[in-house]
Amino acid sequence: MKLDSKKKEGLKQYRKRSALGEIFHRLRRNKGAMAGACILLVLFAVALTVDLWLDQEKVIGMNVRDKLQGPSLQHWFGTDEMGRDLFWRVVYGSRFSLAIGFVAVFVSLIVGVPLGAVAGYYGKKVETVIMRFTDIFSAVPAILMAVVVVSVLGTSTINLMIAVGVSSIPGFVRTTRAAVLTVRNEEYVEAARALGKSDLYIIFLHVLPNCLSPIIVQTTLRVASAIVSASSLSFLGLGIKPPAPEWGALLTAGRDFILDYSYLTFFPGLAIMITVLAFNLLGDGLRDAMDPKLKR
Amino acid sequence: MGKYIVKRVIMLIPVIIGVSLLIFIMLDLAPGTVLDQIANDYTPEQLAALEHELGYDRSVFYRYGMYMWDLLHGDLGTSYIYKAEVWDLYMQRLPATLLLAGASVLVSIVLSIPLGILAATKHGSLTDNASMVAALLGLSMPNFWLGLMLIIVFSLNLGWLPSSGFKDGFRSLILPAITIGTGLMATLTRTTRSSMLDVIRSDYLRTARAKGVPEKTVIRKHALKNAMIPIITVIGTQMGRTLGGSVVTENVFSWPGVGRLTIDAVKQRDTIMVTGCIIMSVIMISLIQLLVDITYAFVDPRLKSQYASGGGKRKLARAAGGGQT
Repeated sequence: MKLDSKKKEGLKQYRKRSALGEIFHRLRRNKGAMAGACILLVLFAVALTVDLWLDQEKVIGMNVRDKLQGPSLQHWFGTDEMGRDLFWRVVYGSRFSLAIGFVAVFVSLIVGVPLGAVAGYYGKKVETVIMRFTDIFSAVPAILMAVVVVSVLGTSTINLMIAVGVSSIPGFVRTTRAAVLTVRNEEYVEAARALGKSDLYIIFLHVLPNCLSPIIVQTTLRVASAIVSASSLSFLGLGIKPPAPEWGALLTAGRDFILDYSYLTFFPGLAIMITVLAFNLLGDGLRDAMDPKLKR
Repeated sequence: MGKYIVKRVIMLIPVIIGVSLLIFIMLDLAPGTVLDQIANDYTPEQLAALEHELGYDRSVFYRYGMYMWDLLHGDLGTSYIYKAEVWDLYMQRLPATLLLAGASVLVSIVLSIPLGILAATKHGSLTDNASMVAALLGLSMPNFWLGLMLIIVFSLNLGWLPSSGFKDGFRSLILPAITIGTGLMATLTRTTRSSMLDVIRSDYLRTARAKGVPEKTVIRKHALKNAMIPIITVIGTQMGRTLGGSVVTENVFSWPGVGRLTIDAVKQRDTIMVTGCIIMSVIMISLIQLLVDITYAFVDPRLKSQYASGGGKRKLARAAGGGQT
């Protein structure tokens, strides 16, 4: 009996996995990526449900008698100058930071990927024009571009998302184009063309699906940098304004008390760092898992 | 070689034209003009005259045309906020930025290259994983937070280093350089590691080891030198990016660099100042890129012959590839 089960185990190894299964299998062996994924899972669960179980009073309720108390059992992260519990504010702030990260990257995805795909697929003049524009666009440092966009649109949460998203468009154009270049001359693309399919059909149903892995990796890593950019803008006074518990804004508000109450800047920053690290770990793991060079 | 440099300079022109047009249009869309900022210093009549003189009574393209005409004559224009030449203002701030960029990249090199080599030589081990996580940690910390934490520990509590400004020379450079350098670490460590990994498995390293060359020499002389090209590429890119102004870090440490100059100018709608700063940083970045390209030839003699035969950019780019995208 014992031998039998061992045999089965052995056989399992040779069972063919689907492409997706293979990627998942490799990802699972990467401890860093799994740690990142677990942290993100918890964060998402918190951010999505926080409204249901967290009493708003805990987040915005002021209690001046308890103001500026250091971390304790009662207030894990201490309290701010209005006596609000910093821990609950950080917990609630996860909604802002995650939402900003995702919406911003979504903005750059929907602009960057089609542009990159068109540039890579058609080549020649179209490619030159799009890539020159991308060069011009990326000549302006990303954070500066975001600042300019915010000045055009005005400061609000939505505009902050757009600004951060716009500033990371060039990365997506480049990544997509590079990926499309590697598949555009493949036989299946030629076959689709021979069948008389339209270019749009070929790009979206044949070319892009085969370019997904670098785009997914780029997306994961970009969410990380978008969260940092957004909090940087808040720090520069161009993002979300302090009463809202966005992490960058919390940190900036704490800066005024840095001399005696450094925990007010420490904890929100720690939250940003852990979140961003989780995205980076997962992105790195995905990059390794999807790398065709490593395929056995 | 000379031909190559000229070609690179010519390629810069459309970028400058495009970037300045982009900035002009975007700042024109933003509410308010530079005139609102200085309105209190002038009488209404003077202001009206100034409005006409600066072209604010006409379209943005007219102003852009005026700017380009000046630029063609080598004039970056005048900032009406500071009432001074943009060129002079920029040059005042440039040394601080250059110093900080150089120091930050140095910090990044000193931390990353040994870490990358260590990770590559111990590939797949715990050390490898730990060094990659350490590098990622540097990337994941928001610059301003790391800066503030360093200030809390080293300035406020220990009192070892100044927390802001530029006055204490070298001592005031340390904290901002560490702040930026740590952020640059991740990419450089990763590049060093993967580039070393490519080389470490090569035949000539095996030959060297077979000859009895000590392992230290094998890594340092044979492996690292051949792995250098992608590493230099990344260092160049990072130097360029830091030169564009590390807006946030400059803000934390009240560092008198170009990043803050540019951001303040955006806030004050000082279009001419913003455009001038960005044009200058574009020029600086491509200068560094050029320098990097020339360095390749020194590091890798195989590339030198390509310069001589006018192999062009494509070959060079391919040779330099394998770095990071």
